[in-house]
Parts: sequence; structure tokens; C-alpha cells
Amino acid sequence: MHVRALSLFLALATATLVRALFADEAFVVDWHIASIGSIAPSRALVSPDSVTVFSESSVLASLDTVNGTVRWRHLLDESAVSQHSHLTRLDSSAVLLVAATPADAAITHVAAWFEDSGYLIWDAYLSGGAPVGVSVAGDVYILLSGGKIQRLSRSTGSVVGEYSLPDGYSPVDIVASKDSISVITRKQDKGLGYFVLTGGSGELADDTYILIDKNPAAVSVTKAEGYNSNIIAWTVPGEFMTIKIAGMSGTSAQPLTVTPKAPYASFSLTSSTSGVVATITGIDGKSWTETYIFSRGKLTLVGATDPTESALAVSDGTLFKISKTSISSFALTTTGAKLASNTEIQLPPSSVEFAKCGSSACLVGFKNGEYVLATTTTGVAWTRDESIADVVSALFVDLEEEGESSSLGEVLFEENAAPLQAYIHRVRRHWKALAGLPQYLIGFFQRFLSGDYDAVPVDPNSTVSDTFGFRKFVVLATTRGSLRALDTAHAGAFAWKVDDVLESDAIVGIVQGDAKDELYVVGAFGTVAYVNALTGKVMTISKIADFGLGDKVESVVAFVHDGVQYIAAWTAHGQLHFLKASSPATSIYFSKVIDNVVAGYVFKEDRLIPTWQFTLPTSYKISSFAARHPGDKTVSLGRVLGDRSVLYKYLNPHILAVAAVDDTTKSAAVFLIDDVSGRLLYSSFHENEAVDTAAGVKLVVGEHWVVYSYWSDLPARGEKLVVLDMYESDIKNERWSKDQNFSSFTETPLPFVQGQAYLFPEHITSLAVSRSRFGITNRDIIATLDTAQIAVLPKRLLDARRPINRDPTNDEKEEGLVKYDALIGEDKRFIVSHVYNVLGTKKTICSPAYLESTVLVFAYGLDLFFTRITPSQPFDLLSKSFNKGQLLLTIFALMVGVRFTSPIVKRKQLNMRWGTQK
Amino acid sequence: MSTPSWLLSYTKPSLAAVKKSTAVYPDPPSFNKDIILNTKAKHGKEIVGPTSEERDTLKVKKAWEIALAPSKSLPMNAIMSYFSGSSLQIFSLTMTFMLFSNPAKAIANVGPTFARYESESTFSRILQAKLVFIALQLATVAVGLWKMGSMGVLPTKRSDWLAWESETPVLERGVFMS
Repeated sequence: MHVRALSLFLALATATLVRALFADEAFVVDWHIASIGSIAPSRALVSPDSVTVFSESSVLASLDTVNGTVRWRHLLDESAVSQHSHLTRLDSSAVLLVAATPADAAITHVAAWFEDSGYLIWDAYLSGGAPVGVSVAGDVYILLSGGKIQRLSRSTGSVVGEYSLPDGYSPVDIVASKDSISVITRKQDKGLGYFVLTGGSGELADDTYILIDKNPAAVSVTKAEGYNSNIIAWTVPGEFMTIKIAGMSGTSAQPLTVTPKAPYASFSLTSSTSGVVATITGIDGKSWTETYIFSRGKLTLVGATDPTESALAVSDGTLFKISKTSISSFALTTTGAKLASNTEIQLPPSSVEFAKCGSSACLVGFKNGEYVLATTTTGVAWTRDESIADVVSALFVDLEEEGESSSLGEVLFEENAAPLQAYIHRVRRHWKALAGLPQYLIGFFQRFLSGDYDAVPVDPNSTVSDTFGFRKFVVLATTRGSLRALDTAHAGAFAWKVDDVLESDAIVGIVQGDAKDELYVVGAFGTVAYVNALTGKVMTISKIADFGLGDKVESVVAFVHDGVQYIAAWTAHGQLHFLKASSPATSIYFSKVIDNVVAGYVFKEDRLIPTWQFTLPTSYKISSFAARHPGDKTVSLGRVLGDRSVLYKYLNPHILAVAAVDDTTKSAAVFLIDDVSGRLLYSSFHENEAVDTAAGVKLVVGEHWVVYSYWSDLPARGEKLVVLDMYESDIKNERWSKDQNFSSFTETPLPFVQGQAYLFPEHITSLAVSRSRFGITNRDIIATLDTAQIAVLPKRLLDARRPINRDPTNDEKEEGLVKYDALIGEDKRFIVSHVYNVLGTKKTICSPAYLESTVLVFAYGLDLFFTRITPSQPFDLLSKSFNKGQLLLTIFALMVGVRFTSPIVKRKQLNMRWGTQK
Repeated sequence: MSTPSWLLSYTKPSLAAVKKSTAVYPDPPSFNKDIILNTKAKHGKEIVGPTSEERDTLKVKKAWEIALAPSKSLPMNAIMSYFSGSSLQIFSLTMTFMLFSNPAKAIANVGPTFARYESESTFSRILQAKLVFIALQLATVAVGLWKMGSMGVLPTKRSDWLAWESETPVLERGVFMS
């Protein structure tokens, strides 16, 4: 945590030193969207000043109640599984997060955080299992899954007391109040009961055990604190008309039965001074509340609300009712619910998942991942879309070029119509186009004078690209089944949103069709939607024909073969479905990683036939795999050396790089396989290096090289970046593939592989490679770091031909090689995310702009980050600082000068000829 | 009617002037015609002009001098080329350009250059000189080529033809399902 804060500070402090991008480009060419992830109601605290949540992406964050911005957030290592993490209020200014650490679920991390600043107050690590229940009353009581109760000081976090449950009792929950602490447990033959904690002994005795229900199958325990005594409620399976409730006192428990007025699906219990309030959701989906008071050992129903479709939430004796158009609050009294306020609001159309309320505001969660804070006084305060924090798949969509959409159809019409008709049509079209002339002229002069193409901004509502192709849409498919399109030119504003594209099918992948605006969305259960990528309109939705029962789509890929585009979906049953065109006529070789094995298939005559399998050495597990991007272009077939001879690149398009790790020996291995024939081309092993196998190996394949990275402790602690350059031969000017056809099935020579390893000081979480329009520009390696930064390393730096332990010779200098230095990094120029704190990015995608020099980069995971990089400098674009005015002025001055001097010179020359002037 | 003399004197002024000058006008003062015309008498010897053979030998000798002139600048060109290095700079580029343009110009103008010494009798001998002249100019071009080679602008190495090499066609189509 401190490391992260420190690194952010360093990034801020050194921001002026950043040369990777010019200061005037920061915040202009790039943007960043900070997310927190999905919010679970059980781990959200709504207070008048802030909304503090521990999200399902393990982000502890505090949101501003006024505008919804993130006041502070921390990406933690703690488990975000709801059973293993608890967020409660420690006191009025602090929150307490108790969660299991995923690295070792037996360790629980308890941390108290200031709500305003996000600073840590204290923290403690507890052994004994994941936290089952947490209760704060004077001290902090934590019930661990191992049967231990830890009592921590509220102010310092030091352990004050420790108790353990007798054998055979499994912990369920803990309820603490000023007077007593009850530990609810379950025992196989004794049913549900609780221990009363008296303190001191450290061991809970059987005589403090109070049985409340003998039914051993009692499940779904709900607790409520605060009424006269603590209350628990539980249900009996199969009985939809009874809720059992018991008040827990020090001596005995009297189970009482509550009979809701209709069968229930779920309920929650709150208790207040006025009584116990049960919020019940019926099996028909409607909700209502029932208020009970204890009187003479009985629960008496004092009031119930009418069943409603609206979401209900109870907080501190106030009932909030949230419908699509209004938020109302009711005071719950001993005589029933009384309307306190009613405010008109406008909520998103998606269905409400939960409502969590504070004293006057409600955090409403929607099924599509949107969250709204609605207050009873002002209505909707803000809306946050957190679906973009859980992205399944993302891709860049090219926009139309200017005028393309409007004129193409009309021009086609004119080409085919009768001459007169076509002529009239054209005149009309041009007349209509004249309306745009003033605008065009203004824009032209603005651009001409300023020399700045951004002088005329692109309309955010249009679907037209800018001059240089910097504006594209990034389409994100989320785990909640929705699509989001972000506009790269407008700071990632939503261009369009579609919820539930596949009609409650989970999205597996999105791929682009032939046309720019064709988007195919494929779901796990074989649903395929064809979506217009520019407008988000769902054009058609269908199911894959002959989709197997219980089968699931695992991956989707689009490829072009013999000029026809195919979209293929691979299913768990090993079926291959072609979604768009009919299945290809010629043989196609498919490969797929299935359960630690790389398997090859040939698709021939409408059948998928297994051909080869690549099995790893025993105890190795596949960590990652990568193939070259099909859009990656090769311009030069060889590498020109200093003496102008050529090393020919090994440009086998079938290279598949597979990285594997061995947990027992802490080693890693990388295999380069021909994915058509299954032939092993190269392998490299990293043994005795104490590789961090949990972090795995990150891989990327470029045109004739592979770059991978892994964290290891030996011989030097750090991230190792390894580059493998593949050449056809180690002999200069030798090209065996010349005038031949390349086939994976012939015994072609193995590639000559040169490798070098570098040390990078930060953890790398993912690697990607830049891809320019024509492939002429150098390539950059884009690495996401766990310091919440994005680094861009030139591939020229990661070059396996750099001379080691000597200065480069003249020829090597000519080749652009510098002396090998194992350590790279510590150079802030590599960081393109400058001051942004880009948390939790897991993947990076690239897309070329229209300019050859520029590549668009988009990283996603938790946060979204977009920037443009120019790996070979912006050689085809004038810099912003270019003074066009001065250039024009100089030209003008020269023209004036020539106008005046030319007659003078002419006269002089004439005089010289006449000899009148010496 | 015959042409009036005043018209003649205007339309054919030169004729009239020449005629008049020799016939009518007296010699300028102190011009002694005898001294100029009777040199033989004064020196007692007759000045005899060179014979045509002598004249031809002289011409050929002169032509050879011109033909061999480039050989004098050749070593200087070579040395300068060598010492100006192989980097692409404006100085070495201009120099290299000169090494090509000057011989080209000289070869193109080989006729006019030797025209003064040419006659029917010396034709074959002048032709030899011409050929030597051209050969020496070509030698200068050779220096230029060598210079270009050392600058690396001649497509003599494999890398210079790399852009024209075509990719190896791949027979199989592989698709990796990530």
C-alpha cells in the first residue's frame, strides 16, 4: 500500500521530467477513467459525506456523495469473495475492512481506514482462517472460520483477547452489543445455537451454550443488532411461510416464529428502537416490510406495507422505497409506516438489483452495472457506470471517413440511374452540399491559419473520424452482458450503451465483421448478435444452429481465408461453429489450448479432425500463450546489418508461443510451437531462478520475435524481460525460403534464435506490442505495471544483438546497437501514463491511426486508459509548437522582397550590358 | 533612271566606306608605309610562315596536351575523394557530383574541344588524342563510382535488393483459437 502511495508521489514529483510525451500533449492525447468495480450491498456504507465500498474488484474506495467522484481508493490484495470479506463502520470517521488474503486464505487482514482521507489507522494480520463474522461493540470481535474469536482493540488494533470454539462447532456469525457477545454456531447433532462470551477464560465452555433450534438443517442466518437485545433470524428449508426469530440474551433464547403474509423468496432483518423490521421479497418479486415488536415474549405485528415492485431498504427506522420515478422515505413507528418525503427522480432503465440506504441517501445498484446515489431531498445526485471495470473483451472500431456515409449510396445511385435523372440528382446533391460550404470554409481557414487539425473539433455526436484517424470507438463487452462504446477523441465519453445484448446470455467475445460497422457478439450459450458498431443498434439476434445441449462457447475468432471472412466459435464440447459464412472449402488448421495441452486440429470437408497434441513436461502448467496479431504487417523480410548484409527474419506465420510454470520447482519455460504441425521450434527454461509462478509469464509475439517477462528472485530480484529474435539462419545473406513455398509439414530448418534477458525493476502485469498502419514504424512493447502505470519500451532497446561487455563496433553502431545493459527502467520517459494512477489494468489493445507514425493504445482491466504513442517519433505530423504563422510571414516577406528587388536587379543588369555602369 | 548615289551610300554604306577609306583618305600622320610593307628590305630576310606539316605537328601536340590534362587532376580527385570520408555531407556530395558531371560535359564537348586542331590530315592522330581524353574522363568517372561505393550509395550489397524480395508464400492456413 505504502509502496503504491510512494510510487504515485514519485510519479507526481517527476512529472516534469517526463519526456516520453510532451507536456502540452498530456491530458490532451490521453485520458483515464478511474473505476472501483461492482459494488455488493453488504460491503457498502452510505453516510451523508461519503459512500465507502469494498468492491468485487478488491477496491476499497470512498465516493463523494455530491458528484460521485472517487475521493480515494486502494486496490488491495484482499479477497473480494463476499463470505470472506466484511466492511463495517468502526466509528463515525473510520471504517473497518476484515478480509481474507487470497495468497493464503488462512490469513485474515484487519485494517481500519480513515473515511475522509483513506489513510490507514491500524492493521493486523490474524491466522486461523477467513473471517466469518465481524462485530464492533466497544472492541472489535472477529470470528474466524477456524473457530477462533479474536478481540482487537478498537483504537490500536492490538489483540486484547482470544477465544476458541470447542471441537465440533462450526462458526456461523458473531453479534456483539454493549452487554453481551454472542457467537452463533452450528453443530451437526445439536443444531443452531450460540455461545455467550463472558471473557477471561479464552475457552468457550459448553455451559455457556444456548440452543435455539434443533433442526440441524437450519440455514441462512440473519443477524440484527441494536434492539433491546440482539436478534437472529433463520429459516427452515422448504418452509416458505415461516421465518424463525430469536432474541439472544445471556441466559436463554426463545425462538419465535413469524409468518409473513405471503410466501417469501428472501428477507432481511433490521432492528430499531421501534422494533424488528423484516424486509421481505416474495416469490412473485414484490417486496414489503413487516414491523414487529416484542411484547410479553411474543412478536406482535404492528404494521406492514403493501407489496410493491419498487426496491425497499430500511435504515435506522426509516423505510426507503425506490421506484423508477420516485424515491420516498417512510418513518417506521410502532403504529406502522408513515410517509416522510417523496421526491421525483429519473432512474436508468435497467432493473434494480439492490438499494442500500444511509440516513437520507440511497445507493441503488442496477443490473447493468450502473450505480445511482439518490437522496430524499435532491433526487439523483450522480450515476456511475462500473460495468466498464469488468471487461470481457474490447476492440477498436474504425469510424467512417468524412462524407463517406452520406455520399456513397447517392453516388451509387447516380452511376446506375438514367443520365438525366442522375444529372438532376447530382445537381440536387451538390446544392444540398453547398449548405455546408460556409462551415467548411471557416474550418478550412481556421486550420490553415493555426496549422492545427484539432482547431475544428469533431462533433461528439457524429460517427465520423478525424483527419488523422485518432478518433475511434472502443467497444467493451462487460461481464454483465452489456456493450459500451467509448469515444477516444472525447475523453472516453460513452458513444453508445447497450444493456443485455444477448438476452441474458453471457458475452464470450466480440469480433468485427467485414465492414467497419459490423460487430458480432457471441454468448456462452450460442447466442449471436449482430450489432451496428457505430450506433449500437442490435440488428439481428440468433442462436447458433445445431448448438449442443449443455455446450458452451469458449472462444471466438475472426479470420480471413481466400478472401472470405469467417467467424468461428469454439465450444467446450470441442465443436467448431462457423457463424457468418458457410464453412470453408479448403483445409484450415486450428489450434487451441485445452486443459494444459495445446491441441491441433484440421478442418477438412466439414469435419474437425484432431491432428497433434503438445504436452508439457510433467508438473508444468500453462501460464499464458500468444500468437502474432493477424493485422501485424512485415515490411522488410530481413534485418540489415552494419556491413549492409542481411539476416533474414524467420517469418513463419504459424508461431504460437506458450509459457508454462512449475509451482514445485519455481521455474518457468517458454515453448515456440508451429501451430499447424505442432512442431517444437524452440524452448527455453528458467530453472533455479525462484520464479513467481503465481504472477505467471507474460508473453507477446511480434513479427519475428517473442518478448516475455516473469518475476523471479534469483539471481537478481526483479522482473526479467527476455527477448528472442528468430532468424532464418545465422549466416548472413542466407535465405533458404527463397523461391520456395513455405509449408509447416516439410522439414524446414529450425529458426536461429538469439536471446537476451533484461532486468526491469517493477512488476509487469501484461505485455502488448504496438501495431502501425503499414508496419514501417518501429515497434514498442507496452507493459502495464503494478505500480498503476503504463510503460512503453522500444523494441530496439530489447534487441538480442546488443554487444555484451564491449562497446559496439562501427558496423554495430551503424546497425543501431548500443552496449548491453542488463538493467532497463528507472527511466520515467518510459511511463506514458504520467500522473495518472491507472489501477488494475490487465490487458492492452492497439490500433493504428491513419498516420503511419501513430498507434492508439487502450488498456483495460479495472481502470481504462487511452493514449497515442509514436514509436519512431511523429515523423509525419507537425508538432503543436510548429509556428505556421511565422512560416507564412517569412514566405510573405520573401515575396515582397522579390517584388521590390527584381526590377532593381533587372535595371542593373541592363545598365551593365550597356556599359553605363561599372 | 539609275539609283542616286546618296541612296547607294545609305543602302551600301560599307562598300562605299571601304572603297573610300583605301582610296581617298590619306594615311594618318607619322604612318610610314614603307617601314611596314618593306620589312624584307629592312631585315634583309624573308619571313616564311610554318609549313603545313609543322602546323599539323603543332596542332597534334596541342591536342595531346589537352587530352592528357585530365590525368593531372585525376590523382588530386582521387586523394580528395579518399580523404573526404564516406559520410553523406554536402561537400562530399557536391564533389562526387562533380566527378560525374564534369567528365560528362567534357565528353559531350569533345568535338568542339578538339575542333581547333582538327583538319583532314591530322584526323587520325587527333582521334587518338580524343580517345585518350575520353578514357581519362571515364577514369574520373571511375573515381566517382568508387567514391559512391565507399559512401554506400551503390546497390552492390544484398540489403540494397531486400525491398524487391518477395515474401515466401505459405501453403497452410493456421488459426489459433485464443
